[in-house]
Amino acid sequence: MMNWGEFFNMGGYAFHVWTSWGLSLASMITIVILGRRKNAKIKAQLANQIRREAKINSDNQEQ
Amino acid sequence: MNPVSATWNFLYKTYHRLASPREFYTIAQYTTPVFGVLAFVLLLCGAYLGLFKAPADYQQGDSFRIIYVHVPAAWLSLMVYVTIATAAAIGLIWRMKMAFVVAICSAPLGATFTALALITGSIWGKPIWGTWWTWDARLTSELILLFLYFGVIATYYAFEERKTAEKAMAMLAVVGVVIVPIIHYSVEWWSSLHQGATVFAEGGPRMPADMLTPLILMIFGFMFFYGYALFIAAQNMVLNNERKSKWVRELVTVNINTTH
Repeated sequence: MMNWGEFFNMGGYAFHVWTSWGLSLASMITIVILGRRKNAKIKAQLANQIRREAKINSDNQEQ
Repeated sequence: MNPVSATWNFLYKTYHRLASPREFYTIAQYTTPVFGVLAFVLLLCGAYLGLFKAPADYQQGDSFRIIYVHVPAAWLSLMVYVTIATAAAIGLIWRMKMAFVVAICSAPLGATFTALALITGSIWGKPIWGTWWTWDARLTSELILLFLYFGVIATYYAFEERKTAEKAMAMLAVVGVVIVPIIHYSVEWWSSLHQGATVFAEGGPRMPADMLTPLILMIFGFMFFYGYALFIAAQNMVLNNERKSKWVRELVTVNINTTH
């Protein structure tokens, strides 16, 4: 059975090891989340625009 | 058909398919998750072996485990720049639209890897060298690379007209590639606190297998992560650039119909 306290202590280098690993992990997660959010945003904006155009077209036809 | 011409045919067709934004988008829809899963598995295995199984270094103790994020980030900082410069050159020479998209979408990713390499190196340097930062050749040239990435991004967004922006960005990217060999050979050309090549050293890697295996896994994990993130960013840019085209409008309309 391994000792978790000892593992997290990293032989006294806990700050150095975990900051480096943590920053790397955080950057990767941020990159993926931002990319996916942007994709949803672009699609929503375009869909809105298409809906608006369709509405303007049908309003024009009614007049 | 002989294998050489079959391979050539395949590459030729792939090039032309990837050159079309629409084809690229379709292909990327399938390749993106594959790259994501590969990156995830490789990084998970690398992290497990690197943090739990690799023995502590006899001189640096457990602080050497920073290597498993520092070296992949530093390796990617150079590989991404070479990718950008190559894509930029292809874009300039053959006027391939998608090459510019690959170049500009890679820049923020490369900048992130460069910043990570600098920061993790700094954190590693404090306990081992006794200083966060020193103006030696390797560190300084890597810092210049970070500013070069900023320059590539800033140049692209400085122009209103997309074609001008792409060309200006590509020219800067191609000229800037001179920094890559300078960074790589900096530890040989000038005296440096930074150690020389350990993995790609003459006469094979200077590391025992139980330390080296996680490092290789992490490097490949980072590479697939770069591919994954690049596909996501490039898909976004294609959607945005081609928003007036029929296929993008149809793609988005299908989304409306399925989600509402």
